[in-house]
Amino acid sequence: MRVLRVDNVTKRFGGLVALRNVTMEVNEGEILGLIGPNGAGKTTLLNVITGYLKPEEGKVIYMGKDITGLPPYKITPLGIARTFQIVKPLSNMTVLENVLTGAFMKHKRLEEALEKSKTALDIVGLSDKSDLLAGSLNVVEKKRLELARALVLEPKLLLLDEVAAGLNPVEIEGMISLLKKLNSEGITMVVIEHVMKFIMGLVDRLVVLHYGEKIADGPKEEVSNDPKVIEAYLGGIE
Amino acid sequence: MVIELGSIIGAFVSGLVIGSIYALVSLGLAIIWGVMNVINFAQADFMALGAFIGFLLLESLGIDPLISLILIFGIVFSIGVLTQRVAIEPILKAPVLSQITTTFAILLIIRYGLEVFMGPYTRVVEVPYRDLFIRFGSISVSVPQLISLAVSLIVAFLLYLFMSRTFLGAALKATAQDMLAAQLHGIDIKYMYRLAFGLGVGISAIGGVLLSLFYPIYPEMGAFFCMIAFISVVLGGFGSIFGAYLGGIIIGLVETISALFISPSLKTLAAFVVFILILLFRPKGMFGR
Amino acid sequence: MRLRELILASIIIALLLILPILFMVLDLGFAAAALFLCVLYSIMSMAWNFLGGYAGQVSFGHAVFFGVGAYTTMVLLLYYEVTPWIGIPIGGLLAALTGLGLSFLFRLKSHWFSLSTLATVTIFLLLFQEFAPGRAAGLQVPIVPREKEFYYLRYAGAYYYIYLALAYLAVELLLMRYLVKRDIGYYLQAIREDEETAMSLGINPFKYKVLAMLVSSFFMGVAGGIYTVRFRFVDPYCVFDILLISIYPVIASLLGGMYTFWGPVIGSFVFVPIFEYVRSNIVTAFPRYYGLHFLVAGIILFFISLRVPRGIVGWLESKGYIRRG
Repeated sequence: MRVLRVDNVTKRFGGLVALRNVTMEVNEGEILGLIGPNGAGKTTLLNVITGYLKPEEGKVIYMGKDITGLPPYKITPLGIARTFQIVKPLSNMTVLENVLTGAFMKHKRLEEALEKSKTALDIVGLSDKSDLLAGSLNVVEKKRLELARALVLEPKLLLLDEVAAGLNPVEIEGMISLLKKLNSEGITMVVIEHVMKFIMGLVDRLVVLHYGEKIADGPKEEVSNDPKVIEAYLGGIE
Repeated sequence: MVIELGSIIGAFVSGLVIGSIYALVSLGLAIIWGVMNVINFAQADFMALGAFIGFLLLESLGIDPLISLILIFGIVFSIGVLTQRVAIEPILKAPVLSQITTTFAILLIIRYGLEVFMGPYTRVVEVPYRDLFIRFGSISVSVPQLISLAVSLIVAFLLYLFMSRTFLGAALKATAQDMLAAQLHGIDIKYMYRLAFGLGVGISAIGGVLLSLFYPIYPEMGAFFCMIAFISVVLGGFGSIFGAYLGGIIIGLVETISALFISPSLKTLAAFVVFILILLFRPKGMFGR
Repeated sequence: MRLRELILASIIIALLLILPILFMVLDLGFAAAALFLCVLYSIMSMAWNFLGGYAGQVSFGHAVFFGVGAYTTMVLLLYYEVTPWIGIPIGGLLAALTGLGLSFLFRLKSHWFSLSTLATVTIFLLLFQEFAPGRAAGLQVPIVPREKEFYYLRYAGAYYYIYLALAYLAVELLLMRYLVKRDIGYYLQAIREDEETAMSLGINPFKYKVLAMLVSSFFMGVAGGIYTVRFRFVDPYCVFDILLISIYPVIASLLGGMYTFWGPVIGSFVFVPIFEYVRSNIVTAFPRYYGLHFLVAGIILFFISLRVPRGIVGWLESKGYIRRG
């Protein structure tokens, strides 16, 4: 079943075309990798999907429903959660409160929300930092907090923007198995990433963007050997 | 109600004059905002500070404020640099709230420090030419007002030369446009910030001195000019320094000419409403970025 | 709540209830007046902080709501003989409606928002000066026969008004405590911290800002109504006053701790006595030094802004003397 379809989306910023006629699909249960050189438009696409940007042309269809142009706070309750490339913690609130704020979307009662929040923090391994102010965490911890916050929203579709940046090889392995486990529990994922070891170990399928256009779309072995893709990355994939 | 040509011309001239004062205060505000992204709520009170320093120099040493103008600029410039180092620098990276409350605190300290020091009295700067008039046909223009207009234009011109012809001015412009790029070119940002703040409040102080030549001054006068300065800058467009100057002139003209037709409170009311409307619908003002 | 906190709370409440009577018996009019102002400003500061500290929307325009509340209570009393017992809450409601009306300003962000709220105070001042009952001269509650004192809420001295203010403060604290402990409280803070993040959590920023505005402006209006019955005189210059009504609660909230629940109250109880002391003892006695009270306020604000931005309660929390929330 198709969870998400991006249909011919074009996004312009004044004279700059950030996305040009991009079409892609995400199927239920898969882990899709979205890659491309810097500036290719990956985060822009994410912003269009999640409602932070309105495309000039094209549609975003989620579970058969046209969500193009809806504001982010209407899209999240439908079952789409995301993390941000440049982490955005709620700095003057504690780690637990950060996640709790997200938990309220599905659980209005404080006790329930607290419970779900603690579980989410357990999953990402931040339980011992629950009472620290989010602003005091280091970047890697903040990324884990972003993930916990996204998880507590109980999404069907999880969009991850460079969640592996700054992780050491051990942490990368840990993140891969965590995400695979969540995937097996029913969460469909789209992963934007630069760290190739992470992407190749995790995804089933790859979509490649270059200068705002889709230049490849298929199983990871195929795409990573596609000459167009290799050329786009110039010096080859890390 | 018959309005004679004479009154209109008179209103035009005084509008130009008072506008040129507003223009200086706004100019300073725009410089500070352009370079540092800080809204200096205390801007109009540095103007009052300048006016009173001029007054004191006249009373105690008998020096005409026009002669001590450069000295006054220097004094307020230094106070500005000091303020920047002590109060503004620490909160540049802090949330905007801290900026707002800090500059507001500076407003209170300067305004009421002035009042406690000088007493809550209105003062008049008694220069010999204060009541002099020049006749142009059927119109008479007050001499200090004329001088003030001239000096304001000269200051704006000097600033223009500074910004476009000197290295320091170019560095300032560069910092305003792109802080990161400026740093990469070896410009010391901290220096630029201090320069900008000192310059901004110093120019405002000049405005105060000029105003004192034909207007009575009192410690709380900043309260009145504060909003006018903001309205002028928003009108001219934050980020456009000369837009701010023009904005000030326009506000001055609108103020005096509309005074011929409508009551003062309605006029102020309209100005404030227009201010909010501009913020909402055309925040770029006339020339801003 | 732990036993220690329970005991502390009980002592404070008992004190607040006994002091007014004590002051009345000992004829300490000045102390009573100061206590009244502490409580009144507590109401105003808590109200301001709900929008400014929790939701992060720093308004310099709260005097507008105060004035609307004050005038409503006065006009209802003078022209329609409606008792302030009803007039004060109605004043709060009208103030809340005004707040709702001004919500379009939420389109502006950070300093633009603050700047525009500053402008609204002067706009209202001029509007009331030109068009309100009493115009620039203002309105006065007349002297009433003894039987009508309760109906008119017209008493000598501050003593009874302290209880009136305490009652409203209690209601305000209870309501805010309730709101803050559930999703609304966290949503507001999220909006303050990062609106984009908040949106990604399903939060509609405008909706919650308006909610915060309604609560905030309501209690500000109530404070205005209480002011009316205590001082029996309103004019545009007293109630639409930027420094004494709009800025004062901001300083008190900052001093006490903007990101905390009790901060505004603590801040008011610290700031008001200092300010009033300077104002009544020095400034009134030596008019030559008019402005000293504002200078002191500026110095305090300066110090807090730069050195202790989290305020007294925030500082105590960071040192571990008390727990968060």
